[in-house]
Amino acid sequence: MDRKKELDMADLPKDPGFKVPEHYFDTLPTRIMQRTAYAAPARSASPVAWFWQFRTAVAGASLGLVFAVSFLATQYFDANPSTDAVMAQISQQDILQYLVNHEELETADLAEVPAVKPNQSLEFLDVRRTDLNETHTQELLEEEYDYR
Amino acid sequence: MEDKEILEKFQHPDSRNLAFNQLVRKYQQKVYWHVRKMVIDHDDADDLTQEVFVKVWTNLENFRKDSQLYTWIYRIATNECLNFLSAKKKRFFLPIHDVAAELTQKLESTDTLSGDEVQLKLQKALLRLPDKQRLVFNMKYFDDLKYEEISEILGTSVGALKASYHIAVKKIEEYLKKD
Repeated sequence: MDRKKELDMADLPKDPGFKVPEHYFDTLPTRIMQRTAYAAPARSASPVAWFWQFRTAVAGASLGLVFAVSFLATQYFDANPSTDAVMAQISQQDILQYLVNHEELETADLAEVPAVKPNQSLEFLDVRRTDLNETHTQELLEEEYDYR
Repeated sequence: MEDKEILEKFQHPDSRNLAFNQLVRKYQQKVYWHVRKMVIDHDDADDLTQEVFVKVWTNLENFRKDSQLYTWIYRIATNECLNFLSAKKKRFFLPIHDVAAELTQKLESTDTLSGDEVQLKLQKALLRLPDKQRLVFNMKYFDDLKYEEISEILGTSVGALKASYHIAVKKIEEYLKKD
């Protein structure tokens, strides 16, 4: 069946009649090519590339976290506590036990202890001054004997 | 350049740009007019035409040749038009300001149509049709496509297309008689 007859509109145009800017179809291919073929290739976000980016980001974040924790820790904890403070935390019994077990402890060491706190140290060590003097005299005699 | 040659050249990196340029020059007017008849406004048609060819560029490598190249391009253009009109309709909340009214207003502006009264009447009648019926009418009446080709583009049976076209013609006739 003839379409125009079917429409019963013999004077209907086949051209829709829209206006187009002059030279539009001369410039359109160039604009399309600039958006496609001539455009810089987009960087592909492959799984491998994504993994490396993620790993770098995690490493950076971890480093930042470590610095932050270290900084906070220095604010709350004293890095160089005094000797008295450290010793105060150790029981007298532990100190005594250490001195008893310490094989390399010599009389000279004991002689140096009173220089710091004589009375207190002798009490801690449970050493009598007469015993110390006797030992010291004996050592002097032995040295004299060796010298001869 | 034949479609087959364009597709072969597109597969080679050295001749890819040349092949695509040939494709654009071959189909730009068909795509533009197909889109323009649906969206009426030139600027919208220009944007959509470019979008269509961007999609063609992106997907041409995976084109499986199950269909003709030009029906595949028509299908992309048709989807772009329908998505555009659908998005436009969602922006209107009041029925008085519907898309058909807006497009009719554009038709009447001096820089849209060449000034032929019959052309304006026909376009006004077409805007009263549903989008898919308007598509069928445009492809059959203006583009002279066969029902089989339209069927391939729209994924609708030939029988349904014939019925749709027949209904569209009746509605246009009624509108023109009444007006």
